[in-house]
Amino acid sequence: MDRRAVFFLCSSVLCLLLTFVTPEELRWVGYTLSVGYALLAGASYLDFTSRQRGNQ
Amino acid sequence: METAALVAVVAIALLFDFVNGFHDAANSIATVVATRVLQPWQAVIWAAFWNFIAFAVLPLKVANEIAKIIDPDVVSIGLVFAGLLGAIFWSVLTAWLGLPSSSSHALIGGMVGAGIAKDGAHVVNLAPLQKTAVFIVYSPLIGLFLGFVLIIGVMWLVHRRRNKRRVNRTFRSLQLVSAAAFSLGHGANDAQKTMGIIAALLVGANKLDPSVLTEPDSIPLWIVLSCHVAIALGTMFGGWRIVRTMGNKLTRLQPMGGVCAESSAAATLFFASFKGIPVSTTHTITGAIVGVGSANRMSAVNWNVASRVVWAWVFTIPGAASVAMVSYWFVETLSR
Repeated sequence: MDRRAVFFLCSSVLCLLLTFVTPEELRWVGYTLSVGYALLAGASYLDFTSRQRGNQ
Repeated sequence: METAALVAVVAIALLFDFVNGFHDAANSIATVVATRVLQPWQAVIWAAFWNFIAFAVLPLKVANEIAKIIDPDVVSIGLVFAGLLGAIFWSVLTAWLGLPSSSSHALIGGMVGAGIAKDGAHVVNLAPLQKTAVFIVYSPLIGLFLGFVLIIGVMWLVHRRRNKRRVNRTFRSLQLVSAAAFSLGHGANDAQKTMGIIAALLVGANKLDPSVLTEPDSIPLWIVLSCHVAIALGTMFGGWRIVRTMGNKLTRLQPMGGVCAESSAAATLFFASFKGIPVSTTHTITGAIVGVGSANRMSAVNWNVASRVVWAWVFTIPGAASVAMVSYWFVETLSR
């Protein structure tokens, strides 16, 4: 399992949850981070699977 | 008697600012010293200069936010003294236990605790506290995200260059810029926390007009300058004790990684200062270093140190608040 992708995915969920308690004028920070971390999680997972295939 | 007490508490606040600079100096100059771009004495002067000059570059919005955390009508000399005692005690305790806590959060916790002890929870202004609380989590995550993206981008740009020595030399020079930017952000965000406390204290003692708490950049120049001098002096003296730095403890950084981590942390601090959000410089650079380290592999990061940082996040505000509450009741009992 790719630990980095899991870490980024957890960070994405955390940022999304935090938007509920973030002052309205700063909620965009949470949304942006959440999307950013979700993209990093996807990219990291793809990187991990391509390395696995390379090793095989 | 009241004036003497006021001067003493302002001096303690400035001492706290000095200790903040002393404590965080290693964050600013660790990479430039480790890679021998600058001698230690040159590095501390470089960082201290940018700490000091920050007041001329970034707005004073963080000071306004900190000054508003407790209702100005209840702020007294005893309350600020107890708040500072709570923050100092907590910072010393966590340093002794080896926990990388934030002195900024300790200061906010201390003020909140002393305020609650004086007149109950209703004296706490929730809007700035809410902003601070959510950015305890956001600021290292922004640093981590930017650090990761920046190092990936830079590695992609330089991986085809055959002259590795030239690349290394370029990043060694760039470290001067990134260390200066980080010191600028550190000076702005951290010195303003003490500024806010001093302004609130003087408003509470009827020595300043309450409008300084709401109007940006209206804090008297002597407060601004004394806070920046205190943090810059702290950085100058603290830099000499670099033995084990956060950079080396979390992950081993090369010049390229150092530039990316410092630039990412500096960008986060600039954003926070422009938005008037008090954040921890230590946690921000920690997040950026973890981001840079995890670009190679997750095992490059010392997760034991990272988890200790997380525990320090959770406990600092309530811990400092509890100590400040006890301190306030003690101060009140003594002054009767």
